[in-house]
Amino acid sequence: MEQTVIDAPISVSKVSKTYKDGFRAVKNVSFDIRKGDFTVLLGLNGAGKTSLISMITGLNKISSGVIQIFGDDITRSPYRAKSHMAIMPQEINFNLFSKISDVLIFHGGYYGISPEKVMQRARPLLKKARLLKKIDQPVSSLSGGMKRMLMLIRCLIQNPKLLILDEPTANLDIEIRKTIWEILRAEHKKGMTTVLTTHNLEEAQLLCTNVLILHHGEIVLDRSIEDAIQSLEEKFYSVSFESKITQKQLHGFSSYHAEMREDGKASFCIRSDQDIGHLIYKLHLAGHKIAHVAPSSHQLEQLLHQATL
Amino acid sequence: MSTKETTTPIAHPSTQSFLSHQMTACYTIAYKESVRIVRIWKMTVVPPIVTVFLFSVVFGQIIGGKIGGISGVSYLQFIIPGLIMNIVINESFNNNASSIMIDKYNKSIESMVTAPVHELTILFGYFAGCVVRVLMAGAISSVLVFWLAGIMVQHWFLFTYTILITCALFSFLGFINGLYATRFDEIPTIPTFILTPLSFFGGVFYDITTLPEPWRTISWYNPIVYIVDTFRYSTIGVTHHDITESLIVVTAITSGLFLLSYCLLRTGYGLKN
Ligand SMILES: Nc1ncnc2c1ncn2[C@@H]1O[C@H](COP(=O)(O)OP(=O)(O)OP(=O)(O)O)[C@@H](O)[C@H]1O
Ligand SMILES: [Mg+2]
Repeated sequence: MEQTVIDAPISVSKVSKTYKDGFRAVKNVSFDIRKGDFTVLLGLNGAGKTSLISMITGLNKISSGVIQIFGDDITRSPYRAKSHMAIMPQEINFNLFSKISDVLIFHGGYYGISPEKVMQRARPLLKKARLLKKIDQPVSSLSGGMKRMLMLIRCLIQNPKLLILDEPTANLDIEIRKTIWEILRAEHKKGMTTVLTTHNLEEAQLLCTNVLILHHGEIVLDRSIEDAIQSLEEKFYSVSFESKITQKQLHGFSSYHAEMREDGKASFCIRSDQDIGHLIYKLHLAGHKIAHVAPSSHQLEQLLHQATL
Repeated sequence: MSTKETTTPIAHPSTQSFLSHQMTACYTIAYKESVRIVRIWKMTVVPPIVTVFLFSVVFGQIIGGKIGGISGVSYLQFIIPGLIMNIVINESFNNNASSIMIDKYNKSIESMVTAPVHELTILFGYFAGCVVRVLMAGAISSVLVFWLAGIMVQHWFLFTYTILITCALFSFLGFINGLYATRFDEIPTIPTFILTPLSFFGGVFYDITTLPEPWRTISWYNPIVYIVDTFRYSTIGVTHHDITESLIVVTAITSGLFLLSYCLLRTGYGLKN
């Protein structure tokens, strides 16, 4: 099959953002995001994540530097660059008096998609989000979580090659969060490149393949999550057992800083001179039947902590 | 992470022709505006009809009866073209100024700014929205007062062109006001301090050629004078100025405002940080 070369979904080169009041929110940032990556952009409140994303999506002017979307410069060829991507912003941005169907139709129209096609694409998603019956109601009648779902659906009707989400699951209950995760995973599997910001590190670890950490407007880490975690001196694992276990029963595992958590899972810390296989073996010997072992979101927390010290 | 990679080309909406995409987007903006206009019809459609009706009865019938004729027509017939033009001016201006401001306030404008919509598409879309509003508010009032005063349109082409060019002029002005405004109380500034005085001194209620100097000369610096004069000629055949010159003045101002709105949009003025 003939192959052609295409450019990175996002290429950011020496980009800075200085607001009118003189505040530098983003400082000389460079990175590339490859096709199919699921990247989490981490950083403390005010680190500059939204400022950076707003430049990528063309909502903020770029003070200096170049941003390309699939090779198209967002400043010089904005129409081509913008046609590739969908954005779910941090804040709700609907006209609350508009009907749900109109919100989708207007948005689709900006991307040249006919109302029929918009509804055809939206229907299964609305159904999944239990919003189908409400499509003739005004947006103001939706709960906060439903509004966020609608924002995501609005992105997906575009069939974008690149999806950018600014804190998509902030303040949502676990059910809606899980629905959103499920949708994002499915889209990622289909090949969509995704960039996500979140303060929920469990979410980041669950979904993402790469991590970018922004601190005081500068990129301080840009790697695959796996590599970044490998490089940690200490790694946390979360273990769930087939039957209930108490903190007392974990007494013999103090060298692993064993700790029962509120969710019924135990957390273990493995230093670089220790081995996860050995821990599992010891747990087995102690008669604890293991149901599931996963790297704990503590690892990302640790990464974030180290990077933003 | 590397910048280049190999993959097979995939079909994508961006391959859709640019023009047909922009036409859909333009239609969408006009449709979005129409939905809004219809939703708030008590504010957009009814007041101008009531106002023009009251003006016609009070000024035209009651006071006009005492004034008698002016420029060879009845006073009522004389003022009606100006009253209709006032609707076109106010509705076009208010539509864009408030729509842009509200969309900025609830941030829904972001979804248009981050979409691949050309600046010209945005301007034409909002202009089309104004045309819809002017038609809804103006058509009913016009039929009503034209019938009341026994007016038959004399020059249909000029009549249509004057409505459209005036609508465009004030739609661009309203657009600029919407971009510039950061608070709702900045919206009435232009209507109160500029549009209303210009309309009152725009020859709607009197023949400006009968004014003493220097007011007569000063009046010709008021663009609304040209608009009202041209529209009056198209409806009742009465004019105080060369129509071609009036059309050139109005078209030139509209083009200037169009260019200004286009440049402001391109620089992201009022929309981008
Ligand atoms: N329009 C603006 N004018 C001036 N300063 C701004 C503006 N927008 C953001 N900032 C400043 O830029 C910095 C970065 O803000 P930004 O919203 O990008 O942070 P963030 O990483 O998205 O934070 P959060 O996690 O809270 O969403 C903050 O100090 C903020 O006060
Ligand atoms: Mg933010």
